[in-house]
Amino acid sequence: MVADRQHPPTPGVPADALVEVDDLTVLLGGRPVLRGVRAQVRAGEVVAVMGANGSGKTTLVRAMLRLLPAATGSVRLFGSTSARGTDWARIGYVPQRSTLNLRNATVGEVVMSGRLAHRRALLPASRRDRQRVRESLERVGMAGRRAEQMVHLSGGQQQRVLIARALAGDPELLVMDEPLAGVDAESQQAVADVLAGLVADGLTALVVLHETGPLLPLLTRAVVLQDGRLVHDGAVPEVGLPGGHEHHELLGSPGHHQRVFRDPAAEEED
Amino acid sequence: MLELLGYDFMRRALLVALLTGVMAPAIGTYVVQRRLSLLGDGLGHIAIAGVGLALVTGSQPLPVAVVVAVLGAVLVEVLRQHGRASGDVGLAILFYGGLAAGVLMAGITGAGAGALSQYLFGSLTSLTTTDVVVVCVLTVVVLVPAVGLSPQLFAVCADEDHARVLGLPVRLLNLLVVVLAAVAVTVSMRTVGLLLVSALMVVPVAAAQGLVRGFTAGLLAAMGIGGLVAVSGAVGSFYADVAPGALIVLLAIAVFIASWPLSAVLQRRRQRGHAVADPPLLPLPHAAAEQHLHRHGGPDCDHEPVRHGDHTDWVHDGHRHARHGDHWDEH
Repeated sequence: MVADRQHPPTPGVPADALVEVDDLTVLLGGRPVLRGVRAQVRAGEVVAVMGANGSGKTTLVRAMLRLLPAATGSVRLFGSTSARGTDWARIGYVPQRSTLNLRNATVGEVVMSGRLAHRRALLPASRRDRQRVRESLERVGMAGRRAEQMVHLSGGQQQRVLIARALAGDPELLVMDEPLAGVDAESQQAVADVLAGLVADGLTALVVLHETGPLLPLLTRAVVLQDGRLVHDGAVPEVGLPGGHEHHELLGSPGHHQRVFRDPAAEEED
Repeated sequence: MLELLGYDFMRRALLVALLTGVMAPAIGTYVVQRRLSLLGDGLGHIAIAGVGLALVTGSQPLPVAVVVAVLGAVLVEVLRQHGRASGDVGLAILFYGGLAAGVLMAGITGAGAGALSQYLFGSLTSLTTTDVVVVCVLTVVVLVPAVGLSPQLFAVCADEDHARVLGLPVRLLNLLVVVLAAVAVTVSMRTVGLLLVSALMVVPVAAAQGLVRGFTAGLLAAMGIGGLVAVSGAVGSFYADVAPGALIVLLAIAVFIASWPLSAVLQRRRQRGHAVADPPLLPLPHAAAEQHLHRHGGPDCDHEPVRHGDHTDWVHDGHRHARHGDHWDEH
């Protein structure tokens, strides 16, 4: 029931940690949403951040990316402890689709915005920028749809465009927030296939997930949060984590819980 | 039309109308994208305080109003970034405080609120050469970043978190948008007036977004529509002897309304063109469609035919299906 390709959690500072948080507490509206969390992502890993709704998953990755300030503790991103010193070009971020405000934008414009860490202000896009946009769209199976407006795409297609936007910046670390949310089963598989290709090429990934779904075979480790505290760091739990459940119970007695992450129809096809 | 160009004051009026008509929607595109469509209105209220201050001190109204509106814009953005503008109460106090201060200061000069009317509703024919020079300079000040930094400003307005992770100076770019909006609002006060300026920032953008695809195309189309209605309104106001602002704004709204049927047709055509889903990455099993009573290819059929190997698929709600013997297959 447990993926066996995990890296054992190691004490101390691992030399190859791309992201590391230590004793991280984050307050939202004066209320602690993360409490003393310690976690890291090492090169080559595919780490899932899991937990029930409101457990602090998104807050953790947003704090890792310095989108939220740490009340206490430290965040080290590619060796840097400050936003100014961070090499942002090494990070590709795929936020939740619901936070976007893309309206009229075309697929090409959205993906091109992923090149901005490499571009100079007031200068037009270079040939290399355009080439990377083309390649990123090909990679996610959306080549030839550059001129379409985002509003006309399905949820799964939008998700793939956002992955292409992150890839266009040539990142070493891909951070994805709920990439399977609101995406139909077929598109979830498409997202998983894209990610599998990227991981095979050596990309490190940190993925916020409510359910592992078709990403399960890719995950090397899971970090599970409950009420803002880290309750598990290690093997990927093979059960779903529905809202309100006690995760330590889940992890200890998976047999009591329904397997929710796999579409039964997809299993039949296998 | 040509005889209008024989008048010095009209040449100045048309040039300023064109510049403000192009400039206001350029920055308005970002304001609309950030869902701050009424920001221009609020900044216009603050600019009235600047006009009042200029009347009291005997200064040129345009430069003073620009400075006051820009300071107000900075304050608005600082309040917003620190989360202290929640509930819009802080902004409302700032905006209406500006309007009240402007009216009060105009009253102190003895001219009364009537002295403000040319700034509230626009007055193109009383432009001085100095006004024209200031407008030209400020148009460049607004258009260079609004067009030149459009990839960065688009990224910030569309997805602020993503822009931060790109390492963009998000706070600075957000501040730039409101400061440029304040400049555009103030410059437009002689064209459409401070009470109507927000319409020139927003309505051409709304019309353009229905007509063209893409953020950049929308930006350029909005600038084109803005320039067109501003010049047309300025010309019309000369012949009809009405305030230019009202005519320009009503023309812009007319273009927006006229764009509805056209944009509906364009949208339908685009959606039809993209109705076919991506080819699935895995081969799909043979899937029979539900009962099919509709006859494809008939006079009442509005489904799009797509050639698929040796047969024709019909596009249904974003997927394709085709006749196979006595039933229909999903393709």
